[in-house]
Amino acid sequence: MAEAKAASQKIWLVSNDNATMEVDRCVVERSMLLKNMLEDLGGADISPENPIPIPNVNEAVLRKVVEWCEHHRNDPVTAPDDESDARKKTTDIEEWDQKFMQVDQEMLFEIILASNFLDIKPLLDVGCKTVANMIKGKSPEEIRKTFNITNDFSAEEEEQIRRENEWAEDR
Amino acid sequence: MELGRRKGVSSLDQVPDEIIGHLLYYISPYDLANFQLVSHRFYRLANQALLWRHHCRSSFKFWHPRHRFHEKTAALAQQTNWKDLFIYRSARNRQVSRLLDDIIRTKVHRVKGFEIIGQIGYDAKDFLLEQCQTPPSAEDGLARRYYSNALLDTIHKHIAINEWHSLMQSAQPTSIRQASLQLERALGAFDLFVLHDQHGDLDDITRMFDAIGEEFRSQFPKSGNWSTRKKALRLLRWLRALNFTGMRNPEQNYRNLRNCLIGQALRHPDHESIPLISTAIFCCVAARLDIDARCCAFPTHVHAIVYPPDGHTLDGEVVADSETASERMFLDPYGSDDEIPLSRLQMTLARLGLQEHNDLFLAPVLAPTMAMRTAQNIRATLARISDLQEHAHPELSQLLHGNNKMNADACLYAASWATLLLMPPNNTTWLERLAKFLRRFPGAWPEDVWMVEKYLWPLYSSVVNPRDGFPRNIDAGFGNPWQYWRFVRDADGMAPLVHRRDFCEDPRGPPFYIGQVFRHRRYGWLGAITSWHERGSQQSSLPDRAGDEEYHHRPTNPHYSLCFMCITETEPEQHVVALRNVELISDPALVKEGMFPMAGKYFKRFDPETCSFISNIREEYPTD
Repeated sequence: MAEAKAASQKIWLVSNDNATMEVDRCVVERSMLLKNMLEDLGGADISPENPIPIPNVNEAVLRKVVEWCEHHRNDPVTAPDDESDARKKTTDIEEWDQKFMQVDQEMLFEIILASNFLDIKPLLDVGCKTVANMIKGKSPEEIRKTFNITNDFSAEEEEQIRRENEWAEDR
Repeated sequence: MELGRRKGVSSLDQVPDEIIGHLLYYISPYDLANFQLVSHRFYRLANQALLWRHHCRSSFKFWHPRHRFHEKTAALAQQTNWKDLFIYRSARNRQVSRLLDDIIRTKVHRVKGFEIIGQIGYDAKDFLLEQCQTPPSAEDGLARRYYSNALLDTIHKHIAINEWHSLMQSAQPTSIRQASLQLERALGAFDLFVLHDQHGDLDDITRMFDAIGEEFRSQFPKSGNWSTRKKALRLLRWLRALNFTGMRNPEQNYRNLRNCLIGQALRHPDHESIPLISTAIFCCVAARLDIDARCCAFPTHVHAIVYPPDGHTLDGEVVADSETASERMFLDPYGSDDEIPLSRLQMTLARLGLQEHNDLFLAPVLAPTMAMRTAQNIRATLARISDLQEHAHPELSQLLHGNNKMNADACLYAASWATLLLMPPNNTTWLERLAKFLRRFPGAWPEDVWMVEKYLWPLYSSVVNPRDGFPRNIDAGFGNPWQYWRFVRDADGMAPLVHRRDFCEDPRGPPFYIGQVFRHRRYGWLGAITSWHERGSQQSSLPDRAGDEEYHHRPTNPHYSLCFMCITETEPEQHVVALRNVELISDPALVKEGMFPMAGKYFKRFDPETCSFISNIREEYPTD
């Protein structure tokens, strides 16, 4: 009973640009950071007047993150040791998440940073996979263009690394 | 309020190292090569040891032992150049891929290709396992599956043979664990001959024993404090209750081939095994629990002898070392839950008239003796199966994976190798066995010629050129049997004999084509044509006159006939089929996947359109 009550309990969050939003406690708990915080505080004294501040995250990003958590509120929690170093990591992304990640690059990076800060591992993974898929199959120059990065290699350095990389060419 | 706001993150360059480091795990090693070239920062991030360790571990499961892969993964990541290791393995894969393509494409230097891949060993295994999964309908699907399986067999056979060879070179074991390791590997080596593309190699066998030991410990957490006698008896009963040793229905099951193979006994859900294997299983699990249990080659069947640790009795009392020197207990893990009194064993020996040899038969034996005895058991089992012929129950030679007949042949071959490597070579029996081996196997396993040269030739040279100047002869009137293997070598470099339909003495050419599927008119089984040749033809009897105009116009030759060979659904080897018994079929639904285990040796794939196999031996039959 206590658990059911805790799940429907409301929590209020406030973004760094001062927008307050009401969220179910079980949705908030997708964030390990907030989950641990609520467990420590008991969560009883959180109110619309006394919301949890989320520094570094603005309203637009926080709304996106909460939207993701709402959609995934019933996902099973994956144990951290599920992530074995010896297993291949897939870059498959489920359809809803793919649509969710169709945002501009700035928002994409903001979501990644926010999920890292809030410790929402599955969202961080979706973000990282999205970026990884943008890198896949691209030449160095295309990667620079895609992500707006300046080439700081000298011609000699570049030649040197290219030689190191010959193994990857005729795979 | 504006103070808390940062400028938006507009470039990947502003994302912290930690996160980029994380997302690089989702990029393939090949994309990483490009990613490094983007900037200095990304170059540094894409070259982290942990990242490349991940790629090594997730891309390759099997490693040649010389890499000491498990030691490396246990150590700090920075101590190994993981990226170089990854690059090395990718280069190996490309080499193996090229060699496999050549092996599939041409007979020329095929044996050499097997040798090179056999020596690459476990560094080639991941790639070959992947190739075994090629769909049979792929362009050369059947051939690719067949040859990658055969190459895995070669790698496994080499590991087994090398295991027995090194066992003879190594010193006596100095610890309980070392003795157990020698035993489980010497017996597990037989399994490698029939492992194919399955789980269950020597390391897996060791891991299975570790897991059983661990399970016992967790069920009996206080067992560490028990006396040796209590622990050994509890372990015995526990293993027997779980059917890890012994057999439920020996009248019917005793001679099943799988009972002789320790890995099959561990992996099979029934875990049935002959007494020798049951005892070995007991001793190997006992070693995990620090019990000194050894195999005893008792005449009727193998028993286990348990010794107390130094300075203790079996019942755990502390005594001076000298007092425990003779204490031991006997167990029969195959047949009994209880300790076997010494007097009963002595009585059995007396009944067999062997009382003079008490010391010999009640003493522990080492791994080579146990492996030799396993080889004898395998031979006895196979002899029984071949005596029964068509009355043999299929279960007799049924293993966890693979074709029964082929597995039986491979086990016999394993037993021959084990005996030659584990028996002292300095007597005539050994020479006779060697001669038999050399005559018998080059046809079935020509690809193993390099192993014959590497392991058997040195043993042979050491006996035929002994220091006592008394040379022994191997040929016994049948000619030197090494010539068969020399022929394998010589033939490997040559283009195979070509059979052209348009050069046949009979101008109509053979009535069937390579790859056509037929039903045997009398016996009803399905077969596929794998070869034809002319018998009694002027062309084949006078090869030096080939090209002579004359033979085309010869009158019909009464000795001339066409001979067809085929593979069938029942036998692994190709055999002769008479022309009149061939009834071609045209319904491709009759040809089931995997129906002909040897199809890949001759064919690329099955073509349902023509209801025939696509030839992969056009080198020999260019017009078929």
